[in-house]
Amino acid sequence: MTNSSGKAASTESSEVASIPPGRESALRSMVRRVRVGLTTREESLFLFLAVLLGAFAGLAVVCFRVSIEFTRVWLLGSGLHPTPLRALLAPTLGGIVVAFLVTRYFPRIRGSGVTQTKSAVYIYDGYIPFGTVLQKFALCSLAIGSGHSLGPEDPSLQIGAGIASALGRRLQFSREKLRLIAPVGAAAGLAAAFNSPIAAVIFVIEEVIGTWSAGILGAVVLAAVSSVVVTRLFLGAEPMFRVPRYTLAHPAELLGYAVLGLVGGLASILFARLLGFLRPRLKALPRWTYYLQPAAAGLIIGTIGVKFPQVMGAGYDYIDQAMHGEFLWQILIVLALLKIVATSLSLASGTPGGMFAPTLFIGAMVGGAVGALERHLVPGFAGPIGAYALVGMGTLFAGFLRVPMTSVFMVLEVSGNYSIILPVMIANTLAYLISRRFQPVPIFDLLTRQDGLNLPSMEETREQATLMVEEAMQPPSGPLLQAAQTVASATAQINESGEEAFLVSYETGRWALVRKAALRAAANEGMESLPLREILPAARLPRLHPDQPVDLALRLFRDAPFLPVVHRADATRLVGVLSLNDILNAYQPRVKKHRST
Amino acid sequence: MPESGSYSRETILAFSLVALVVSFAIAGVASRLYHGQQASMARQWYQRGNAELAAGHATTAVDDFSNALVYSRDNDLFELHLAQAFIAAGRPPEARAHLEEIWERTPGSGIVNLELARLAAQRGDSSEAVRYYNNAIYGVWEGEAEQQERRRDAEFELYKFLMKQGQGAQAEAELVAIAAGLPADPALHIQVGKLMLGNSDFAHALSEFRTALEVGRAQPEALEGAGEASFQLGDYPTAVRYLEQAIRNKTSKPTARQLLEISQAVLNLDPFDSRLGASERARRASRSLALAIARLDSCTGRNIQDRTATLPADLQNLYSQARKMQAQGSINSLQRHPEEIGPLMDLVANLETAAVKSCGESSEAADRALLLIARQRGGTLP
Repeated sequence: MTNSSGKAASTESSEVASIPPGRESALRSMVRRVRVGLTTREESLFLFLAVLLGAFAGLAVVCFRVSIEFTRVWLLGSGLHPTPLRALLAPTLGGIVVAFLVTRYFPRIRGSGVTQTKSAVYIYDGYIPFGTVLQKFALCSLAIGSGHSLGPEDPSLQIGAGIASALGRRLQFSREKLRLIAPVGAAAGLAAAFNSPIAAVIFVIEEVIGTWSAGILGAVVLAAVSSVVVTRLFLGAEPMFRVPRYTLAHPAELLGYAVLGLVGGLASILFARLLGFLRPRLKALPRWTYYLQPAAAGLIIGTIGVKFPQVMGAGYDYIDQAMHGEFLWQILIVLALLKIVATSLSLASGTPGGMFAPTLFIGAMVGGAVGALERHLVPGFAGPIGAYALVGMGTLFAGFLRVPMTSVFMVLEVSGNYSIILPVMIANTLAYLISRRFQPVPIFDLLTRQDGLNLPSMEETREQATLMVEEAMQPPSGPLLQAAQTVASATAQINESGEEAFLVSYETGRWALVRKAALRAAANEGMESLPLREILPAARLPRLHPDQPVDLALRLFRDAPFLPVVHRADATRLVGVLSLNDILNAYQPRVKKHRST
Repeated sequence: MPESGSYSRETILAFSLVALVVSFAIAGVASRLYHGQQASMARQWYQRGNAELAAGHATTAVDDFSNALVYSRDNDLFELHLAQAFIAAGRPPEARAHLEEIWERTPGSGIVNLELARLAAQRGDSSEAVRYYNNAIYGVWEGEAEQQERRRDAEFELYKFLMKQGQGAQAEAELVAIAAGLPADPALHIQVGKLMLGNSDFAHALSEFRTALEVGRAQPEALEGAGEASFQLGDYPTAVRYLEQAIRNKTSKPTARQLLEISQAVLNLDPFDSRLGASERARRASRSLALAIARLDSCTGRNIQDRTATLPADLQNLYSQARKMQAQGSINSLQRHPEEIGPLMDLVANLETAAVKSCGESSEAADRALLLIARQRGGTLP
């Protein structure tokens, strides 16, 4: 990066020298400035590229959605209810084609795009072959369009990431930037697929990158916005769902939403457990069965689809119907359970496709069922079923995908209704906590671990509590000297102490450290009447606050045996001292605890 | 793992921009095909839905309109038809969800508000029904020409709903408001007049029937209505005029003739008509008493002169008063003492009332006329 920048800078100076400024046309000047800017400042290029990537991802997702829709109409017909023959044949035959191509030629595109993008970021330095993008595009269109219970969001995410990776490589980005650019593309792909930029940005931060770094946040946001603008240009600005008017019937209704959170959490566990159970078992079967598994899954889904066509495909249209209270609660429960089975089969059989849409579907059905049941049991207690279905989608997002922040913003963005925030927060938090309690490993981590990969778990990273100074510091002990007191009085004060170094406090909040030997030496040299500040070094002793991380303290330690920990409102007030030993001692219990778990 | 490319960044970016333009073109073609296909399928399913709904297959129509809506999600017309299909299929909660969603987008839509009002009325949610009905009345309706008609239909529905809810005063006010906005259409004025008659709002009803007669030819219904309203208002000469015309115009209403007879009887028997001379006044009073006694005789099966008959005390008392009055109240005597006509007519009213109590309403026009004359004087009536 440095070489390239330096080379570009010299090129710029030679060009400037060879063309007299007065004769340079305005256009050439602009082109030159853009060229120089892009070449020399990788940060600027990165941001520009984010916009470009967003546009590419948006266009790709437009084509992807169109492709899925054409395939669906072609294979299943234009109605919501396909004929029994189509329902049976389309997913089965689609499964055969997908299985052959995936097993024989494109094994990389099996499974979820999220885990594959994470693998690319953390294992292959952001490298995603462009071929993967094309393969994912084609086979996911076929799989989803033929009725497999999968969604287009995770593939869109991977398509975006793949485009970003390819362009980054062409532009010879540094390894660090290549690792960052794939998530940028992922955010763009997901934003375009969901038509909701905020949720996409938060998802990528929450699940793929794991940290809120200023360096990448700008690019992720730009890419997401750019992709959504492009998608809306071609497919319209309609939100994903037509959400009915939301009203909270009564404050006590929040209890009803808490029940939904509970049920959503349990449904998430069921879904994760079934998928986690089926996937390794199907994968462990002989390799020749790989050619049949997606077809078998398709046949089962088709059989279900003869009676319940709602479980086929992404299912967004049925989510819409559930939101409008078009199903009885008994049917909603059946649909949720069948969708869990169908999606688990599709994913476990290695059919490429995403989990987002089925998760939303299951959530909407669970939510609708809970809402309808509450209305049935306690008339007048529950509000519109559509609101329950909407909140239900959030609970599954929080409970199954384990992205609590994304789940809240996704519901807000999809509904465009801020007043639903309270039910969403209550239900999602409960679902998340229940899922975490009974399903310790999040689904994305479970899938990567089943694949033999050890990617960083974003949830575990979030859970890793930082050791703070207050947990490691010790209470102040030994004499505390004042900068204004004389050397003689200080010597007298420390005489009885067994310590070797002492803190000196200034009235201004500054701190210093003086060693016993240095103090005695000063006294012996006839400086007894001088104030301490006269004999102390000019350099300040770093000071800490109790709420700062120990990591920061470690960076501040130089030759001082300990550092003062002072009150934030009064820097002259000593609340503790921190030594390197204290830090080590504080870490020991954590290490023991970690080993035991 | 950066690749060593043979092109500079600028060249790659330039290629990327060209690729972006090409991609835009491809996506444009794809989306155009997509939208074309969506529109075509939406249209097909919508047409099928309409056909199914017209054939009375509401459940199939629900599926068809749902399919249409898949391809044209924010189409208010499709969603409205879906809601109507749900209503036809007996699934009002689903219909309501869809209607409320359209309402969110077009809160001023007359038809949406009307459907919501109907659903609210069905649920018994009176305040919401009235709110939506009023929204429908002031809402926007399709077709410039039909706007007023649709609004009026909504007004009539609101009126009927209010009547059903027992909110008579509000309903009457609504009807007066409807009348104020009616065009020069005799049928509409007749319709409103009839409703007003039903509400005993005779003055407004008469006005409506008169307007109907002014704007159209002399329709029997309007004449009957005007006659009945006049009759109820106690304007018997006018009632006779209208009812005679109605009968001449071959009215189909059997009560018209009856009302005419009663009105004529009132005009013939009423001794309080200010235009009458003293002898005619006395003659009418005397005749009225004779008619009332005859009515009570026929009701009780006794003769007024038969003093041995065992009758209840109140009737005995009435008979005794009647005998006395008959003895004193000759035509000449009444002519000399016109102040006796009032008490005599009070007795007539009491005799008729006693007869009604014992034997029910008389079918004779004269007896009913006597009761009406008494009512006009403010007497106590059954």
